[in-house]
Amino acid sequence: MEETEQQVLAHIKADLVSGPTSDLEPETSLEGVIDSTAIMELVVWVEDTFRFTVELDDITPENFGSVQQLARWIQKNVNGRVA
Amino acid sequence: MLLPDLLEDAARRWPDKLAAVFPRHAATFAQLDHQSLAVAHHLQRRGIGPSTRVAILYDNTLAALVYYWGILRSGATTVDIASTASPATVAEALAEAQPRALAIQPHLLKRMVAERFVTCPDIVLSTADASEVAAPLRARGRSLQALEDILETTDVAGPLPRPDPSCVAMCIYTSGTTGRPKGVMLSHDNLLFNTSAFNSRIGLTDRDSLLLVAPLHYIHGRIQLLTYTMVGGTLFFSAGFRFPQTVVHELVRYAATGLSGVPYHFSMLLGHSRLKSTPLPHLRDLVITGGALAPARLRELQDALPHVALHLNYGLTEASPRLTYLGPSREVFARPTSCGRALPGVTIEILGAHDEALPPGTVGEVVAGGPGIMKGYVSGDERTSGRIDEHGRLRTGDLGYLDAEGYVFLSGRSSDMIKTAGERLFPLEVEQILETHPSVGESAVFGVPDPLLGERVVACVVPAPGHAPSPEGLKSHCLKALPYLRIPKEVYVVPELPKTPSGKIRHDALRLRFASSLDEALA
Repeated sequence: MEETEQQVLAHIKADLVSGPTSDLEPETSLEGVIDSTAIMELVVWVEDTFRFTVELDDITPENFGSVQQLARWIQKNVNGRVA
Repeated sequence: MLLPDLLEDAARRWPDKLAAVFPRHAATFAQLDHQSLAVAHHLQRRGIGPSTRVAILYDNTLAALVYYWGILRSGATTVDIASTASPATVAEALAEAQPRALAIQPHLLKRMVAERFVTCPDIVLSTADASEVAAPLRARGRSLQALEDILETTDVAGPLPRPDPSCVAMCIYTSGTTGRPKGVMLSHDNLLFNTSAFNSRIGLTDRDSLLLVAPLHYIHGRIQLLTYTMVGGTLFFSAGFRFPQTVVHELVRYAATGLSGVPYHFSMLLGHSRLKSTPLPHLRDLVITGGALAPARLRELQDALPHVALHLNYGLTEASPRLTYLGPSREVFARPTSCGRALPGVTIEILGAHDEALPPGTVGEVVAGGPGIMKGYVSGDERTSGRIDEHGRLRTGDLGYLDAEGYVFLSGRSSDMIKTAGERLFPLEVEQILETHPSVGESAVFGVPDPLLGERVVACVVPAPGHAPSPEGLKSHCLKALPYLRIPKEVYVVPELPKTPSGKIRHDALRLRFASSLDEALA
């Protein structure tokens, strides 16, 4: 879980967020931090990196609201697939 | 009449009706009226009124709405700065507009304090969540006031000043050709004319409501707010377009009768949500503004929502903003590549290279006149820059033609402006950042057609001697200073850039070259 969290955080900081990113923590709300075009990029990245299809109904503030929420949701999908 | 009269009038006629509904808050017209009155009296007591400016740096929230109306009712001018703007852009806008006070969202204020801001007015207004930065602000000679305290403690007795309706009511900061933000100054008269002229065509009443997806800091959001306040319609504030399927859920939950967006919003809804399979019996009107949606997409939208009327319009912030209207649907599909006819009171002319009026069917620059044309830029260079000509007309920088019946057909731009995901930007803003990277000798930024974004930002860079720039490295470099939306999605390293004989980069040639190679790739 923590590893996924760090992976997501590193990607968002490096490729999707403008300006200083030092204060971005796993629990920071992504509202106002990443825009709608970045969310679409993030969805593509999640699909490519974790190898599952993101359904339209899953692209929600609950799943993409923070790095922590996103990592938790990714983990659920990855575990579900393994099971 | 002044803009805040719209709210006072609505509060008299529909006091208990919901004016604004947010995901976690709501207010009736009477509540908005009462709360904004307190803000106005508070500002008045602090010496703020006509001829002074108050900046607003907020996402769409109820507090932002109360401050907006309160500032207008105090007689002062609002200054809208995008909450998504980079700290450098915010600083530039504040330094130019010199507001006496700043209403700012707590998390943005905390960022400003952490980054040791240099340009900030003495009076800072926010909400109670910002109290933790009160001490550092005080240490730097600024006072912080929370909206909650203003509402609780302000005596609302006594008259408020009424500026002349020709005075500037709002300044809206938008991208400028020079790479610096431009503050567009719009008067009460400008905006009241525009809301009435538009509604004379679309015919909204108090039975209408809107799901607002546009940020209030742009003219698109502000004009929706003014229009629906004028007719007594409820505004439902969307949690944002970052989640298109959530927008569909909001349309269902709120039973909104209208949705207004830029082509990007509708492309997102068509391609990334379940709009097509979701029954939306309450939805009656879709307004598409800020660019053209391809005819095939218009048809797709109409097929998805056969009972809904489509309306198109074309405008610019500098025109308050709407200039033309086309609708409802049967009119749209009779001329799906047009953006309609001039609104009543608006004049549209097509001028040639020597400012001569061109006959119908001939492409030239679209030039607009009428009571909605801005008072000017905060910087004062609207005439020297050629944006407003000697006849007081707005040079839109858009290319197009009129047909014999006066319908406007846009065909391109004479300026290098890029419109991506509904936002406008100019190449210089990005080129200046690219050229601060040591590996870049020269750069050119332009837009190429993109099915989702409208236009995609693309950059060509010429390496500095002895360097080999990496596209990924340059994207990361841009991201340090620019919002994600504005960074080039593609960066190409090229040996040279096409130039005019006088040495100016030919963005038009690059646009054409890359757009046609895209067509070839897709063919």
